Amino acid sequence: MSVWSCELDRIRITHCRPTAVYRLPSTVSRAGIPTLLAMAMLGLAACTPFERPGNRLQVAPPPTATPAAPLVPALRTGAEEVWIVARTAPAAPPTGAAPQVPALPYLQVRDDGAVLPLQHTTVHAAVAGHVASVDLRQRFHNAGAPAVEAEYVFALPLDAAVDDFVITIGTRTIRGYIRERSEAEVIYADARKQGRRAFLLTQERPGVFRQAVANIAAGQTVDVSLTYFHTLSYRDGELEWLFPMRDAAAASSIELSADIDAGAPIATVHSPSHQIVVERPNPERARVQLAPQEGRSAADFVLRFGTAGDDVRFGLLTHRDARGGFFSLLLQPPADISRVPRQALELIAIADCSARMAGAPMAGVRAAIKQALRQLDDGDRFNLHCSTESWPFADQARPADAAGRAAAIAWIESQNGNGSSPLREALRAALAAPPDPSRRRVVMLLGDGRSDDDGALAGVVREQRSAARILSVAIGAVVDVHELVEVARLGRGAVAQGFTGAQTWAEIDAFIGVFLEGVRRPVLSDLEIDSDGLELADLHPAQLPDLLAGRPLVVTGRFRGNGPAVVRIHGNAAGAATAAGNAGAERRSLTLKLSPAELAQTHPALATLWARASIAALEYRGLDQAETSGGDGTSVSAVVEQIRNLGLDYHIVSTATAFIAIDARAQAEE
Amino acid sequence: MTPEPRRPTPAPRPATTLLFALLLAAALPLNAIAEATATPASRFVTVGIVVDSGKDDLAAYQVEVVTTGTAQFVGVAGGEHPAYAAPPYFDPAAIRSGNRVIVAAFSRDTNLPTGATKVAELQVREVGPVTYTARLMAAARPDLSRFTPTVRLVVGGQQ
Repeated sequence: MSVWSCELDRIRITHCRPTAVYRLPSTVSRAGIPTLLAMAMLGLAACTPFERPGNRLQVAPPPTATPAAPLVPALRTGAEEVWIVARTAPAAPPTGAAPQVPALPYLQVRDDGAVLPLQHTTVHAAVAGHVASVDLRQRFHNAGAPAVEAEYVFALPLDAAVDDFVITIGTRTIRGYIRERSEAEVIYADARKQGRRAFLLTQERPGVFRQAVANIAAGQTVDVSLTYFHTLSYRDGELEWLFPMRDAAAASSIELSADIDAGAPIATVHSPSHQIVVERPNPERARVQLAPQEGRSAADFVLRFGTAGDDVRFGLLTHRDARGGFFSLLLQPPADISRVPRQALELIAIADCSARMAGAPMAGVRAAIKQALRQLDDGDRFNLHCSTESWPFADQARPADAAGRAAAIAWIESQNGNGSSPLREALRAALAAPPDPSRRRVVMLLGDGRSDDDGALAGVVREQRSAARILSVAIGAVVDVHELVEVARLGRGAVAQGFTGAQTWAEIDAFIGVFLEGVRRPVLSDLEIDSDGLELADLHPAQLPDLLAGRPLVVTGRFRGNGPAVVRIHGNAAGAATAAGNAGAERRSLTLKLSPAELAQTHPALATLWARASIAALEYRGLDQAETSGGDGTSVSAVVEQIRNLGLDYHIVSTATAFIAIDARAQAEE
Repeated sequence: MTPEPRRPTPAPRPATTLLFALLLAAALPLNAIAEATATPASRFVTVGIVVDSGKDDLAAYQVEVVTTGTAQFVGVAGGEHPAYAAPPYFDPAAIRSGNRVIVAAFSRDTNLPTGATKVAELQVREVGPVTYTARLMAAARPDLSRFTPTVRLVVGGQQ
């Protein structure tokens, strides 16, 4: 199969699916090939999307139905420097006079509580290396109410970049435009008022989207198609693509498929969640389909494939267009980490034990701390701090022997969530304590992120510049996950988000174990990237985390230069001395040589993913810093403008940009 | 190519307008006047892009539409012929410029349109008088050869 690429500067259609790898369809007729060539020669859109990756949409009940439900969704955003283990909260059962709405995907009709149920879902993922492009199509039907307005809220991966929005009603298919959000909202309201069918897609916060539709007549069926890109997560030596289909499958029929182009021979491809049918057209590729009998399986779909070898793998994808050069670098740890020395830990757990945490959240805090304590060895040390106590469990970190752990468990069992005090001083003390040269320090922060003023905890981490790794565990009825994500990001750590379900807690327990084991076995730490022949800039994440066992590192950025070039990653190999205190320094460098041809590749998804990462950095950090820089409204508006410009330039939804699609025809014209 | 700008609405004469307003005010209750003044100044129209390729099969096109006045592009639909039923792709940078849009599509179908065919339909929100001008940027036959069909626009969804 040939691989074709758009050259955007030639074809001048920058939205010719600018974020996909375009491939010649296998079904293309021979007569079609010259047509494509002709288009290229003419400077037209000589590209067509073929293998689009498709994945996940998790539909959450609208906030009105579950006011206390955190709407933060994504599972294991492995490409970020922050891991997130999360589940959307289970839909709260209707209470009192609240409308009886199903806890399943639906468009919630405004005013009268009726719904437009989901009839069918089609998902296709095209996976290229560690990047997935997802086509998701959902069909809703208005069986009753006349000309309704409806909306629904749904989750996508935190780094999902939604770049296409197409609506089909009967024979009418309309592609939406990206516009500044406020402008799109005015247009939508105007169209709704004038009786036009109107569609608006907005992003409420990273990974959480809201879709509104207006004037859908009784008996009409609406197909909503989204395309988005995101990076894959990584688990147990394999890349993992997850589609949270449990709600969709329970509500409707579902078709799901995926095309994998791993870029290296695929050693394993399997689904631990569903029966699948796998075809292997060649060693580097696999085509996967959900087995027909699984179309209504009420479980999230997980697809894993592995290519990892025995050593660290280092890969670089590049893209260049009129906007400049973009790259995505994947640093993958070896699958077998038995040779990586295991290091001792110093664990400091800081828990929010305030009244907000009383009941199930406090039980979650106790369970998480006990799980962490179980992961410690006799050679480790630990300490605990509860926000209602003036003093921590011990004056200083004490050995994690059996007696120490038993005393700690008794101490944490006595905490019931009956007071309130901020956590920032405990966090500051934990980060400021002199490092133990023989142990790697992990600070575990447990709570809902609302114990302190906005940005206060992140401010402490910025101020301290500690080498400690921070694990945030988000627990609570309403969680400010932004604060906890930012704390973990600055602390080069991870976030685990949990609620109260037994299944979720089992996942979080496992995650805590994986994280602590990863910190014990840093494959490479204190990473740096440099290059001869290229100028690398605007990297995300800006502060490189360690390469830990079981967790790849993805860095996206921009480059200038035509090559040939050399890109190097430097890091302290396992067992080497770091600021966190480990003996036996051994600096290791990984080198990748790039030819001019390799730097002139076309992977348009990289530009979109870079823009999405830049927007996320502005949303997480830029706004916080602007808000905490003295209440300077100009700074905030400057950050918002940057987000808006990135959204418009790269044609993606953000908090400042939205997709609008209006059917300008009056329905009587049909 | 023969762009067909939308015919601007004739401007009402001031004296006629004033007289009409006075009569209306006398004839209608106050709440009716309030409703009349709340009528949105904007309107939604469709702008069909019609390419006439004569006897040639139209395998690809790229068209620029430029507006004068206040026009916001709020979507693009496909055309009438099955080969161009899917919405075309567009250039977001052109839209950002504020007064133009570039759309393009190609088809590998063996059944391609000839003669005058609506290949796409812009969805537009207008405020005040707006005119449209179309320019063919490129077109191709299935045999790779470039040619120059004519382009016209049909405003309002009527062809």
